[in-house]
Amino acid sequence: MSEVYISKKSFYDTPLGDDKAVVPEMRRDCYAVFACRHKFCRDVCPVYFETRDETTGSYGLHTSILGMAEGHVALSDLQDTITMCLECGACELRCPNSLYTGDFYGQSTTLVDLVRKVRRDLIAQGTPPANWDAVQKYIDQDLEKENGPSDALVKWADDLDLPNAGETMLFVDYFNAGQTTDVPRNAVKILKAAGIRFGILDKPYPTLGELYESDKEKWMVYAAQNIDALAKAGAKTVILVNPHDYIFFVREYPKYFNLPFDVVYITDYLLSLFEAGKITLKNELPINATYHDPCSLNKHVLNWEAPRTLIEAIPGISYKADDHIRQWDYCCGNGLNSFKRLKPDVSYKIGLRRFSMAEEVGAEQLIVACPHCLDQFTEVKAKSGSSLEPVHILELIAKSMGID
Amino acid sequence: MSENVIIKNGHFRVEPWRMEKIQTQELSDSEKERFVKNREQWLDWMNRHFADKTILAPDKYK
Amino acid sequence: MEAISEKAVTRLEDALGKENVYPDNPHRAVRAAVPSPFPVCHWEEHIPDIVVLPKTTEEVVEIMKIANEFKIPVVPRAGATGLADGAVPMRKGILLDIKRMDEILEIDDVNMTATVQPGLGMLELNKTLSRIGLFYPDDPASYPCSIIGGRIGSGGWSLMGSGYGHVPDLVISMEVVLPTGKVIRVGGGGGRKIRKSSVGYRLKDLFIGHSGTLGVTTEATLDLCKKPEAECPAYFGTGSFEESHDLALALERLGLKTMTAVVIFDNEKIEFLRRDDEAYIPQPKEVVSVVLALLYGSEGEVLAARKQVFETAVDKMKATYLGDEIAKGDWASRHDRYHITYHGRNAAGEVSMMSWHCEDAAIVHSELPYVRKKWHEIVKRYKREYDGYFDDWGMFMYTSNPFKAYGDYLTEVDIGVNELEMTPEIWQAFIKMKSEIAAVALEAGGSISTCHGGTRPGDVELACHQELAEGSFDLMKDIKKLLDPNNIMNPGKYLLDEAYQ
Repeated sequence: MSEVYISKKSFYDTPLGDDKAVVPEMRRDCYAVFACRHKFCRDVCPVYFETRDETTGSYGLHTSILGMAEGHVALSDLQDTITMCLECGACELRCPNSLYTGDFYGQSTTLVDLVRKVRRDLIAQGTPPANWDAVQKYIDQDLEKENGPSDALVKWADDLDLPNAGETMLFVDYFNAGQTTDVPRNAVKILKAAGIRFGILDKPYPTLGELYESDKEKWMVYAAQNIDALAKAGAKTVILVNPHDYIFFVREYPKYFNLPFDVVYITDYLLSLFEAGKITLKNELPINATYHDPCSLNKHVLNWEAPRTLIEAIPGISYKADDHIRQWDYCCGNGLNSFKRLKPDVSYKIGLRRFSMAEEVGAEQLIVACPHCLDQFTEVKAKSGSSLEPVHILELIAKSMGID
Repeated sequence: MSENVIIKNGHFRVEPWRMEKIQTQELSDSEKERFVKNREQWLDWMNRHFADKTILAPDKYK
Repeated sequence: MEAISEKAVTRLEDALGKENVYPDNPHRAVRAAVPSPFPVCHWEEHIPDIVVLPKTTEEVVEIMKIANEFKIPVVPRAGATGLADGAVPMRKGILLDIKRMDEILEIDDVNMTATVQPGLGMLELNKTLSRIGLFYPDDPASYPCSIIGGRIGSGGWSLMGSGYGHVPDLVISMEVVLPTGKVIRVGGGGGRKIRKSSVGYRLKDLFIGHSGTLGVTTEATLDLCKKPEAECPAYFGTGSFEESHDLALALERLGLKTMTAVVIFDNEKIEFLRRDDEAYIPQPKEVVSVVLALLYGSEGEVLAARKQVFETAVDKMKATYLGDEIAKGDWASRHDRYHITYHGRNAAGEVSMMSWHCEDAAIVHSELPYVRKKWHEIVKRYKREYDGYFDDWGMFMYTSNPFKAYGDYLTEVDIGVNELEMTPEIWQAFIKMKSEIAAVALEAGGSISTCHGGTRPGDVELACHQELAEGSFDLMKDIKKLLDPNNIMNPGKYLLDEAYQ
């Protein structure tokens, strides 16, 4: 089975509220971060680098909730500050409690879960995060797709002649299916060229993170439907082309369900094909590029080697990238779930900063491995007029393989 | 070690009785391995951040 | 918000823009504490009335003027990662958070200086500098998140200071906004980049380590170095603290220019680190105490020095080399190994969550054994008496003489403090423990603090009335009153209120 990365705190299930006491375990857990006060979490936070405000981030949020337990802060006081998190996971990686002794004491810092929980609790008590309407609108649009005709969800694959069952299934989410269709299409073409037999679901269900941090129960119903549909299709291996979904499949779904199949991210799968000689990168691509680690892969599951190995194997490429630890500081600005809609201005600034880092290493193309990064960087490029060109790794691999 | 520990998958774990006053969270083995791997990578990075090269003991003292 | 008038808030908003003024609870409550022990039961007393984040010198000037007009305290805060307690508001007031002043204004790679705003992080600065092979060699325990302005305000000490100098040596010149709002330049000659001049009083030093009582640094020119080509952290195990003490002296006497630090880990420190060996330094059982010899320089220099270090430690002094894994891993862990909350224990050996407290006296080499003996007696007595509230986390001793790894040692006893269950009564006991520890440092002819200052409760009376008794404290009060006629800058620190009585 694939590795599952669970850190789950049962006391997160007890809601916070303006008129509710903070349970002792929550108080103690927040103290674990407050007690450090070194705030190493702060100086890896891409939001902090824009706002320079220590109220947000892991130290700020844990301290605010400890302050809630001590009567200095109310839940509704967090309506603004709770918007300031990308859920990128950098602070969790840098927290000494996890980094040094998380394995020893069986205690980890789970800021991303906490942010989701606080957003849910704020919504539940009728004081949602500031600007939540914009997120709710987006959620409603996504759920409309689920209610609509199912062929719209697989329209991207109309001409690709894929079965709806198989031991290997490619799971394509609504975002890729609707907005970045070249990403799954390139994945399909590469896999076919490598001789892989695989299918796609005739109807995938929503995986939207925005829904997860507002209506967890509904999100779980869809999760169960996805797992069920993939199992019924005969999946033994499920390949993901959206890393946001990938980390849901390896970090969130296993918290609630048993997955009867292995889960693998497309770049890992392609690397194994490359190493087995089933993929040949033959065409030279004389481009000057750098690589942007998606937060979901790099920070949530320490997955940064496969894309780099594949890029380096492309003939003719001139490639220089900041290492994956330096990239803890970076994000495209989209964030994992609601951030971009909650804080569009900060989102754009984070994207711009990432562009400047790519320019510092002298790159003309910025390679991504995530459709949300691609979408965000395309927008940043358009707004800023930068000459830096975002490009998805699958497009480069397809080109180098000689696939049209 | 100054205290007894449990060894699991080649790594040290605190004895559970020491943690009785603290609710342990659900942590998968993969997650714990992720911490260990991350720590090793971070320590390497920190060395590289302060100097281009880390020189260790001469062979005769290793 | 009863303590600050609406009118003053409006003036601040007009001066800085509403988006840089925060009257809400989270922004204020989060800025009450720094890493020095913070009794959670006293939180309310330290919550500032309002938080402001200026971006320019002019805005800082405006804040000072408003504070003087309305007689509101101003507490500067940078990274708030220091143990000096400087950024903890004692009388509430305006919390002046400098982190939005974060520009790198100039990097001069010929004259090897960087001119920066004070809110810039050191790790951020070095990430930029290292792209062109340069480095700012200041390395406190909080390095990964500490901020230039806070380093200046607290007169910071650096783990690499015996090789590269400490903050007072690394700051060439500064722009300072005085409490009255007047802007001055100190140090650096006419062009702000001169390291050594003999013109005028040494005023730069006055504005380093004042814990926010004399003004706010708004710009600093820093001394850079080439990023070190090589480091060699060599860890040697010994059978006792006394053996380590002797070995350290032998290493000091090698007279190596590349010797960046000699560090002693005492018996209790090794015991503490061994609560989770894997995260730090897994060692053979017979190792009781440890000495680190730390070399930085060009590869050739380090290789030559390494030979002498190993011959001295292993061949001559019969210490055990602890292995390459420890060498790399422990040195890289140096910023994280102090303060793991879960490393606290009660007498029964159960995990009792504690925060890190560090006493950091400056002691000469010869007095280290005396101080060590006395300090552990004190801490262990309190640990026994208040089971589960305090824990002895052992001692580190680091050479701290700038540019010379001999003579002075930052002598640190680390104490676990259970802040979450702290009562006002036990807090008083903690302060008493601190006074006893400080008294030992003075008895040994040392200074109460190498880097955390003397304004923390338990230290401050001894600092002002004993260590600084021979006229220094009286002069400090005169200077304070001269520069800050309304006592707005961080009032309550260093007993300086006495100047106004």
